[in-house]
Amino acid sequence: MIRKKERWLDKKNNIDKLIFGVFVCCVLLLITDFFYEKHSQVFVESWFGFYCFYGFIICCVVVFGCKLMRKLLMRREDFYDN
Amino acid sequence: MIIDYMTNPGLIFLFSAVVICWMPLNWRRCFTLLIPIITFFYIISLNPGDTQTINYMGYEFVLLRVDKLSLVWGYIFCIAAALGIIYSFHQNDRIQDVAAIIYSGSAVGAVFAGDLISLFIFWEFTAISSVFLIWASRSESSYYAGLRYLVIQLSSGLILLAGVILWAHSNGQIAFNLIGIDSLAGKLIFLAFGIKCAFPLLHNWLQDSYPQSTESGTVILSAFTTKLAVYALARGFSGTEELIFIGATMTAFPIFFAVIENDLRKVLAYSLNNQLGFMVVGVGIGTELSLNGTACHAFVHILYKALLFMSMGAVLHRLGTTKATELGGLYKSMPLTTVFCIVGAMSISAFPLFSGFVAKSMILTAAAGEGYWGIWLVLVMGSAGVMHHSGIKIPYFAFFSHDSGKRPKEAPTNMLIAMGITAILCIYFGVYPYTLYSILPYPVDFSPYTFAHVITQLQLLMFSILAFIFLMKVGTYPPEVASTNLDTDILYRKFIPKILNWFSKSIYTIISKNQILSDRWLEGFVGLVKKYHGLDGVLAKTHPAGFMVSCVVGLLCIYLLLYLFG
Repeated sequence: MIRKKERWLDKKNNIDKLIFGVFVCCVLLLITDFFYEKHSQVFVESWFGFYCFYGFIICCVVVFGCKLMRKLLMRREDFYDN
Repeated sequence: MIIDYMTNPGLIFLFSAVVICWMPLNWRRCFTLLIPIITFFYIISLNPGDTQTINYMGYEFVLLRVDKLSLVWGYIFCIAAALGIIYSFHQNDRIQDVAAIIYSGSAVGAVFAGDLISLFIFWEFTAISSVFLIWASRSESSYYAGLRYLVIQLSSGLILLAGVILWAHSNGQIAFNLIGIDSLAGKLIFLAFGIKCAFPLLHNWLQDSYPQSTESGTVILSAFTTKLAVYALARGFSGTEELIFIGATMTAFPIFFAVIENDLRKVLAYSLNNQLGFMVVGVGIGTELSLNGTACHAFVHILYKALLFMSMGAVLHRLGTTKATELGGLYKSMPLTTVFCIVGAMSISAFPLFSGFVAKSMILTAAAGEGYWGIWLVLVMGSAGVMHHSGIKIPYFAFFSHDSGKRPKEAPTNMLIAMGITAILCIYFGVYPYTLYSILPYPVDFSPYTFAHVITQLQLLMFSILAFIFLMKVGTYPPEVASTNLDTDILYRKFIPKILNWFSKSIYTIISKNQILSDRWLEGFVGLVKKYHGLDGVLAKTHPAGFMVSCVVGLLCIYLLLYLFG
């Protein structure tokens, strides 16, 4: 019988810690934007936290786009089989 | 030792393939690994400017042309072949071993070919040999996918041949240098390269066929065909502005397909498409920085993409599937494979200190520097997207996510060694990119590790991760569903067969409905033929030789009379 060993990631508590860690990193990275001189090649780069917001928004847009695509393009798994 | 007779390094592979196909397993294993290693050292011994030419039928065939562009691809193709061979050590499949050697050898050969006809020959060799890697799965679906793949690859070859013939006819020479898309020949060659490079709408052969191959077959396949096409584009079409827009499209649209796809190897095939987009943009911009970026990106991309395919191959090897719906929680029993997969994921996402970062930032800087800020925005979107579908999705759904309860054994040792070496290379080139920069086609005046570069990239990636977590928490992230997603392959897998079917059925119906009429036509036609060619027909009669001679004499007399009095 397979011995079931409790892993660190099995505890929901630890996953919450990880997520909190990611959140803290994001906040710190956003704050860093105040502390360095920007040499922007593209005008939008000079906006405060451009990369943060663009990254976040793009991912959300992609996922919403995907939900729409699924409605249009998703077929059953054996679609090409017969 | 001074090598005084140089030839194309690809030929070492091709001639060795003839030998290894007769060898017993253990000999074959050692020898197949030796081939790329020997070729690698041979390529190192070559110097830019080395050539080997043969004059034949009024054309100059350049079997070997060494310059800094071909050397980059030569090195990485040998490294990829060696890693792929180590990865496939656990299996005993003669056809696959030989096909892999011929395939990688012809790709190396094509890179060092200096004329279009030699390129075409190696090009076709890659197409024909690679299909055996797809068929190596020996399943019905891989058989049909292989056939579709072969038709598309050979079509690319035929279009290339047509282009080359036109080019040779109009220019009187066949040297493979800058071609451009102004002439019809140029357009045809461009299209041929575009098919192999998986341009938008011509891309689906890649997602259709690569996931059908065996675990090691896909690793080998992922390295060569498409990167050879990128090389060919960089050689023949650098600075072609259309490529910038084509490349940008390639970085954007596969993201959507990759996010909704259930088969993780197919997700990687879409992500391969997305990565090619960056390289194509680099070729299109055509500056020294962007071409360096393309070469650098092709180099590191081959490594991290192989690593990702290797980790998924290990899962396939142990569980027989890479469908996200059937995986999850595998990190518990495959910890090393998980670590290697994460290294590949971080490299493809271009995390600082990983190889993707030092290459991708070059192309982005080049695009922004040349004023293509719209394209630049799409490329940044592509970078965030790749984080999403390859950086997070692949490791998360395979190794973490919900626990599938499956506890497969860790990958075989040879797979772990191959993955380990690839992972070390991914980190090495990320931490110390200057080795890689020193072999690029143009002098490099670029530093990836500026404070701004590192911070902005981390901002982009960490906020993409945050978005993923947010979407998972609110339940918006599309759940994994066992499904097929329609792509352009529906055209040739459903629509065209349906139209042909309808067409043949309609003809049959028309014929059967007009049976009486057609019978009458047929009878009339047969009667006519019988009348003239039948037993007593005028045209089928035999005549005595004397009669025929008299006729000939008569005709000659008439001709003579006409000649004398006419």
